[in-house]
Amino acid sequence: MNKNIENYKKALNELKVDDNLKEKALNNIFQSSKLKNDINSKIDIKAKKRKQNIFTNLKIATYSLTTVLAGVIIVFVGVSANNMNKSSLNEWALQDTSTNNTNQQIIKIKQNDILPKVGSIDNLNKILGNMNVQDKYYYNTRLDGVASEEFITADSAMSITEKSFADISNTSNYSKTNTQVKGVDEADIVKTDGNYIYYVANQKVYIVDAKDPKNTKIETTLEYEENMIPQEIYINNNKLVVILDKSETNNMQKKNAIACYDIAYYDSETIVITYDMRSKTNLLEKRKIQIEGNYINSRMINNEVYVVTNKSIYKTEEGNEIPQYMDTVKDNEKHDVSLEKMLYVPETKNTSYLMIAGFSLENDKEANIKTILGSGHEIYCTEDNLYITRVIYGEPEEKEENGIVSVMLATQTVHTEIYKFKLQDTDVISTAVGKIEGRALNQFSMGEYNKNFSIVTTADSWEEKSSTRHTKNTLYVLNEKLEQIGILENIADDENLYAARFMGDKAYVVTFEQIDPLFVIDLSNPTQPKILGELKIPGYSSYLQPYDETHLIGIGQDTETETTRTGSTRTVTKGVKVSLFDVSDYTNPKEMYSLVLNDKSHTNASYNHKALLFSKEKNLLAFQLATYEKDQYKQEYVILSIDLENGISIKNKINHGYEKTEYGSEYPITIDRGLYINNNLFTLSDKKVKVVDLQTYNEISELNLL
Amino acid sequence: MAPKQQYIENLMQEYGDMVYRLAISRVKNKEEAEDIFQEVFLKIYEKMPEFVNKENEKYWIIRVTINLSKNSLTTAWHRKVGPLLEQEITFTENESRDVYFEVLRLPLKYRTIIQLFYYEDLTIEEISEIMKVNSNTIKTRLRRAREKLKTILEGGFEYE
Repeated sequence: MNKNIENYKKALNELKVDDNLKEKALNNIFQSSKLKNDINSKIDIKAKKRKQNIFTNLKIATYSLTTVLAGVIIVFVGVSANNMNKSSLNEWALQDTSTNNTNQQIIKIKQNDILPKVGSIDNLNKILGNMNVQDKYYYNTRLDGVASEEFITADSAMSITEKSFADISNTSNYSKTNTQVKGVDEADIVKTDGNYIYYVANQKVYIVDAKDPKNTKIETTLEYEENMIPQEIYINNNKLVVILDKSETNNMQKKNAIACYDIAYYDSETIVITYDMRSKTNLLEKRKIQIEGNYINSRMINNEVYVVTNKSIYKTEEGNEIPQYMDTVKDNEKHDVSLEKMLYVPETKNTSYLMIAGFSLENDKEANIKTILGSGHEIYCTEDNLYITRVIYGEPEEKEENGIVSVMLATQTVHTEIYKFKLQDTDVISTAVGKIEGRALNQFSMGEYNKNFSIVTTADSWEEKSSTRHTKNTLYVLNEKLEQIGILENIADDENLYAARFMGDKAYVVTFEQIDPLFVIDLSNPTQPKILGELKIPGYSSYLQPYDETHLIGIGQDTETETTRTGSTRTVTKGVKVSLFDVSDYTNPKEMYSLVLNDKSHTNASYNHKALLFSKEKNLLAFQLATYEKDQYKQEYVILSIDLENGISIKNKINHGYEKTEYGSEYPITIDRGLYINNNLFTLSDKKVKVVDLQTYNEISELNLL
Repeated sequence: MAPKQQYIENLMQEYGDMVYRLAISRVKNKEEAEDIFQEVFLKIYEKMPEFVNKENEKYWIIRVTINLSKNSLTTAWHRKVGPLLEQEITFTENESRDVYFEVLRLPLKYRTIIQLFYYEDLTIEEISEIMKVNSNTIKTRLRRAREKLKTILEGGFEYE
């Protein structure tokens, strides 16, 4: 072969994507809306020719609660007194009328939404008519395939309630989904009730009888139409809730794939099916709720399920499309959502509908469907309140010089709008709207403490001359009405935010540039949040798991700084790092123990908290681990022992072997999740369920999934 | 991990380097190539196309990469950050480094074809299908690219 070609190939062989970047990209794709910023940075000038000053007037769109009070409607409902709502507002109303309340009836108040209602189609058109250039950009590019406004994240929130973090160190003998907030369940691809395992894989839902670990068997398999893909599930006593994504157009699969790129953006519908599982061999479909839009996230609180979706607004010749829903409790017809009840946020431009469906698993009352003109990115939910954030990118200014228009990126603003809803018997009532600068990394960036809401955000700015990116990390404390009452600025400027976790009156924040500072922030005085201490260690944590009240587990990457041939330095990741932090002395956080796994490894638990199996009582920490050593790609499930006395050590590794693709190559099988029932560890992949003894790690059984 | 996420991760493992190499040779900027890299996989994640066969998959990804870097080439952003600094990427061998940067100095329409033809081992017909350009045009461009390289590099870029 020609020498030049050989050298050219050699050079290209060396051009490889940093694993760092891969992990970051996956992280971004799955979890954050960060990418939209990058996409926005590259807005085609032509689409931006028409200037508009939308964000000149950046006032916080907050509406006083007094309007809510003014609109209080008192409704009598026959429920028992211990069902009383905790909200102070309700207590006030209760006291006020309790003298008249002689029999078992108590009063519940129905609050009015704080956001104005759309009301009519004319008004809807009027509101949507004022689309700005950015919106037009989305309209245009949706057709040629550039990312749309509705960039959805697949994960769920994380923060700490007033009392404590979610308690997953179960007292029961089986593991539960690693959730964020106590009392608020999150959907996942696997659930167990200690007897059966419910698992979403291969576009099916498997119900596996796990009562005898030596002889696990598939009891029932739920299968769906080709274009209906089960996403996540809940279990609740004898009910199974399956959330499915139904793509409206499945011609993507049929047509030539290259042409697909030019096919218009397609939307999906979210379908929520509830099954009666009293007979595990014969599940009965009890209810089907269909809401338009992509599934963003959901929560289950006691017996109430809330599902959030996002739907792009299509403008047809007939006008703006109104989203539809169906609830089989009512009938089998699709209905337009009520414009009377549809809400909008004044002074905000919209290209999509945010829909929230709330329903109860206990009764056949029609689902509450709330539609808001807006969209959602991350959700954070406590037992009483649901917060949905939306990232809004401002219009950078343009400059014209010698006929060349350039976009002044430094002038682009990023804001996060926060919608707050009160959850009340499957109804969601908007109670406040707030707006702050920057964008949140994920749901773990949010927390509620003493009725105040805190959020950590990152805002980018660009230096014009050198094109250097600057980042600014800020913690905001907002009151019940989402008005800013406290701010902590300059948390490690020019470093990236990697993780956050709120625990009561403390916030833990990880930033990273070359070494990892873990900051402990005090929120006990909401008007003056302050940094109490920081810890600098190599590597970073991208997920923080509370171990107990004074200890945190960090999962992330070990890093090292390399000097390149040209003398510049760069930071490279070395492999998954697990740390145990002692934060009992807030001013002096310590890394007690750490463990670095194989070179070039990574884990889905670093960006998906539900993929983490943790039990303090069992000294158990386990997660999926992918390693790339010398071009060899391995998939394992690693079981660690973790405790305060002996630190962190590897107990065992499990793998599910290899699968042959139709093209002849072999792929290691990825283990999605692990869970335990009594003393047995069940690992689950698309191909099998493998059971091992948690003491001896001897294999007990293996069940093939097909 | 959900099947969808696993699929993306596998694709990234398989095609990540290709996407990155292609992007960097088009936009000549490391950071921007990294952005394109992310956008390509985001796009796949959003669209989740199902491919008839393996080739189809590869072509589609190349095409999306080219399209996305096309968008970015036209923006003022690209003009502002300027061309790739040669110091930014390092190679272990000086010879390969020199050849790489000579190819990079070729006009855009030539350097992508060179890369697809010589490195990705695609045929003229395949490149023509991906780039939606007539195969005769591809042949002509490939010939011109070789002629240009011959004047700079001893031995040029012909197969022996």
